[in-house]
Amino acid sequence: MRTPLRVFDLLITLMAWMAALLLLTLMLATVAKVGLRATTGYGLLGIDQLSGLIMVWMTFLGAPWVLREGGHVVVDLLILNLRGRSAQVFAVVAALLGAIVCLTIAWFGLQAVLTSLRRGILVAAELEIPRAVNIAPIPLGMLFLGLEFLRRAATALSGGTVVTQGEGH
Amino acid sequence: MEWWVFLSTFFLGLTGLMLIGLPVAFAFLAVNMIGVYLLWGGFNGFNQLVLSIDSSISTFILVPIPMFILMGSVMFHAGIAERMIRVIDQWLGFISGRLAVLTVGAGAVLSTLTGVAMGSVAMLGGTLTPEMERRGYARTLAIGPVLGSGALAILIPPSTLAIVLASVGGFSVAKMLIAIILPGILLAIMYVIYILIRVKLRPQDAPAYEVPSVPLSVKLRDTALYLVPPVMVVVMIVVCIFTGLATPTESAAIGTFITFFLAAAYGDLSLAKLKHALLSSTKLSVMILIIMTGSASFSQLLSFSGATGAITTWATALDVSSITLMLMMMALVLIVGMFIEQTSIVLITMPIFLPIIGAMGWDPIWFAVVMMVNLELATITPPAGLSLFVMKGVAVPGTTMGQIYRAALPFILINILLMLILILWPALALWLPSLM
Amino acid sequence: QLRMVGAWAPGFSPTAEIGKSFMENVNRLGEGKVSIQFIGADDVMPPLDQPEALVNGVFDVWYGAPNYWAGVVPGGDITELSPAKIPDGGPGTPLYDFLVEAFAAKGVRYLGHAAGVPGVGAHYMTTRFPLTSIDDLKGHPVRVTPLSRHFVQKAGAESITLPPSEIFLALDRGTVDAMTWPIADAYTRYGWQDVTKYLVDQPMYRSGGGLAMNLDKWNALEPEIQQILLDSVKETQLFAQTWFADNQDEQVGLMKAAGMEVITLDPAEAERWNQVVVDALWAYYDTIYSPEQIATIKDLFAAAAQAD
Ligand code: NA
Ligand code: NA
Repeated sequence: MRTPLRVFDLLITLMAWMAALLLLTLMLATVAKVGLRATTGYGLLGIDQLSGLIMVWMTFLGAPWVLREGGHVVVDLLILNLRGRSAQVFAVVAALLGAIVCLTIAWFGLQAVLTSLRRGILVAAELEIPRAVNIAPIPLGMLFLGLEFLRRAATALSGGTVVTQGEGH
Repeated sequence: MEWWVFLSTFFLGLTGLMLIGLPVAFAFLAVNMIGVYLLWGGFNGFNQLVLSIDSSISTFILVPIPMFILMGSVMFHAGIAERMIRVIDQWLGFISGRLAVLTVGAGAVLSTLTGVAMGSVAMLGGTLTPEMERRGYARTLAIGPVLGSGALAILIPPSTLAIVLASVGGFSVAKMLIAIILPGILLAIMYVIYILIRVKLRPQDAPAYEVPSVPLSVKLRDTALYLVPPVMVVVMIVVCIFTGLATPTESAAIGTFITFFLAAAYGDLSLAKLKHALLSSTKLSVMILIIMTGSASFSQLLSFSGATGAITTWATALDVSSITLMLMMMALVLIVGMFIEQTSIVLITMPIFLPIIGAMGWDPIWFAVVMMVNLELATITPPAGLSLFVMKGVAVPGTTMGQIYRAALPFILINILLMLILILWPALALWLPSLM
Repeated sequence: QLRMVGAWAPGFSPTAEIGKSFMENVNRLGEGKVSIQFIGADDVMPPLDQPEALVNGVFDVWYGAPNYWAGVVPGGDITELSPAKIPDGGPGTPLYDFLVEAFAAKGVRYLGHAAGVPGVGAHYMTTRFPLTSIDDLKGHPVRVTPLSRHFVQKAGAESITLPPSEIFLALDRGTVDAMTWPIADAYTRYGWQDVTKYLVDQPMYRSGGGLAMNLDKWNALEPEIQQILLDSVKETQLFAQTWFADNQDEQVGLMKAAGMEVITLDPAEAERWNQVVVDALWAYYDTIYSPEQIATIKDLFAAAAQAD
C-alpha cells in the first residue's frame, strides 16, 4: 500500500511542477511574440492559440496537487460549524461525490479524446493541431483528481482531518 | 421539463453540493453533468460537456489571470510590497488616524501589484493591524481599513476578476480594465474621507502618537527607488492597453516579465523565493481556472432549458424603471455574494443577466463596473467573505468574528454607496473607456 | 419536432436569416408532419463548438458559416470557391451529392450552402490605409476569419484572429489596420465604418450561410419528411440570392454615408488579387483532398456553373 501511494504522490507533485513551468512558458511565449513584432514587424503566428492550449494543460496538471494541498475553493459556511460524527459524514460524502464527478468526467474525457482522434477533428485556427491535444489533459487531470478524492474519503472515514482551506492564499 | 423545475433543481443541487463541502468547481461540474444528461441527449451529451470544459478555459483572453497572479506573487515574495508601504509611511507625516489612512494608501498601492484580495489583506492585516492595536486604535478601526483595502485590490487594475467577468460576459477586456480605474480611486478616497470623519468625531478611536520625522532627501530617494519602479510596471500595462500598443494579454505578460527583473534588481530574488512565488501563483491560477471550466456548459444549459429566456422575458416585462431593475439585480448579487466567492457568483448570475442587459439596452461596460464593485464587496460581506477569514487568521489573538463583521460594516456601506453613485452617474465608469 | 441551434441570432445578423428562412419553410411545407424549433444561437453555445455538438446529437439542425466545419469536416467548406449561382448546385445535383457524402463520413447530413450570386455577399477587405494593389497589404496586421487567413498570409500580411467583440478596439487602436468580413452581414451594425476608411471592391469567396443536420436524426426521418426538408433548402437557397444582394447594397450605402471610400482596383490588379485569393484557398484544399478529388471537385464546379 505504501509504495503505490508514494508513487501517486510523486506523480501529482511532478504534474504540479509541469504546470508551474507551463505558467512560465505562458509568459515567455507572449513576451517572445511581442519582442519579435517589435523587432521584425511580425508577431509569432499561433502563440495566442498555443496560450489557450497551455491554459488547459496547466489547469488540469495542477488541479490534483491543488486538491491535495487543500487549495480548491470550498464554501465552508456549514462544515466549519460541524463537530464529530456529522462532520465526518459530510467529509466522506463530499469526497465520494467529488470522486464520482471526477472519475466520470475522466472516463467520458477519455472517450472524447478517442472519438476526436477517430473523427480526425482539427482546431481550425492558426495551428491546425488535433482537438484531441486540447482535450487530453482533462481525463488525465480528472483521473488523478478522482483518486485524490478517494484518498480524502478514506482519510475522513478513518477519522483523519481533511485539509479544506489551504494555507497558500 | 418545465424550465422552472429545471432551474430550481439546478440551484438547489448546486447549493446543497457546495454546502456539504464539495469544492465549488466540482459542484458546478456535478450539476452540469445532470443537466447534460437531461438536456443534451443522455450520455451522448457528455462528450460535449468535455469539449465545453476545454472551450471554457482554452482562450488567450484568460491569460492575464495567471499573469497578474504571478506578477503580484513575485512582487510580494521579493519584498517589493513591504518597501512600498514603508515609503508611503514616510510621506504620511502626522495626520489624525494616520495608521488607518496609511492602510488605505498602502492598500491602494498594493492593489496595483495584485489582482486578488487575499494577499493584500494578509499583508496589511499581518503588519498594520497589530501596529494599530499597539498604538491604542479601536479594534474595528484597526481591522476595517484592511478589509476595505483588500477589496481595492480587485477593483484597481490589474484585476483577475475583471478578466473573468469580461470573458464570461463577452465584454472587451481592455475596456473593463480601464473602466474600473476611476471607481477604484474614488473608492480609496471615500475610505479615507470616512476615516477622517470618524476620527474627528471619535478621537479616542485613534490616539495620536509621535512620528519620527524623515528628511525630505531620504523620502525622495526611497520613493524613486522603491515606489516609482513597481508602480511604473502597472502604469505601463495600463498605458499599453489604453493606447492599444498591446492587447491586455500581451501587456500582462510583459509586465510580469519585467517584474522578475525588478525583483532581481532589488537583490531579493533568491531561488527559494522564486520557487515559492511560482508555486503559489500556479496554485491560485489553477484554483480560479478550474472553477471557470464549468462556466460554458453551466450557462449553455441554463439557456438550453429555456430558463434564461423565461427570466429575461419576466424581468423586462416587470413594471419597474430601468434603475429599479438594476438595483434588484445588484441586490441579488449582494445576497449571493454573502455566501459564495466571486468567480462562482459571476458564473451563476451572468448567464441570466446578459440577455437582460441586452434587452434593456444598457451599456455592458457600465453594468460590468457596477457588478465589479458588488463582487469585490462579496469578499468582505458576512458570513462567508474570504477576506474575513484571512483577517481572522492574521488578527491579534482574541479577535472575534463578531468584531471583524462590525469592522467590515462601514466599508460595506461605502461600497454600496459607490455602487449607487455609479448607477446614477454612469459617466464615472464610462468616461475613461470612451476616450480609448 | 427538430431542435435547431445557429451560430448567430436572427435580427442582428442577416446571415442568420438563412436558418430562420429554412425553419419557416419547413414549418410551412411540413405542417402537421415535421417542425423545427429554434433553441438559440451563441447564447446557447459558442459558434465554433456547435458543429461538434451537432455530431454529438445535442441538437438536430444547425446553421452558420460553412467554414465553421473546417475542423470537423476538413474541406467541407469547398463551395466557398464554387462558381455556380447556388454554391452547391442545390439538392439533387452531383456537386450537392458529393458534399452529402463528404459530411456523412463525419456523422453529419449536409443540407446546403445558401449565398448570393458569385461576387455578392462575399468577403471583402476593409482597411484604414489606402491601397491600389495586393502588394500594399504586405506587413500589415489584418484581422482574418479561418477562411481568409490563407489568402492574407499569402499576401505577406500578418493574420490575426480576433473575436468580433474585440475588432472595433483593435482597429481603433491600430492593433490591426485591416480586416476581412462578409460586409453584407451587418458590417455597420458593429460600428466598424467608423474605424476603417476604405472598402476594397474585390469580392472574395462566397460566404453566406450553411445548413446541416445530425446524420442519425436524418436517417430516422421518413423519406417524405426528408423531401420536405430538401424542398425547404431549395427555397432558402433561392431566397438567399436576393437577400444577400439587398443587404450588401444597404451596407455599402451606409459605409459610404459614414465617409468610407470604395476602392476599385484597376482590372489587372483586380485579376491579380483574385488569383491570390483563389490560389491560396486551393493550396489549402490541396493539403486536404487528393489530386483526384480536386480534379473531381473542379469538374463538378464546372458542371454546376454550366447548369446555371
Ligand atoms: Na489590483
Ligand atoms: Na461574502
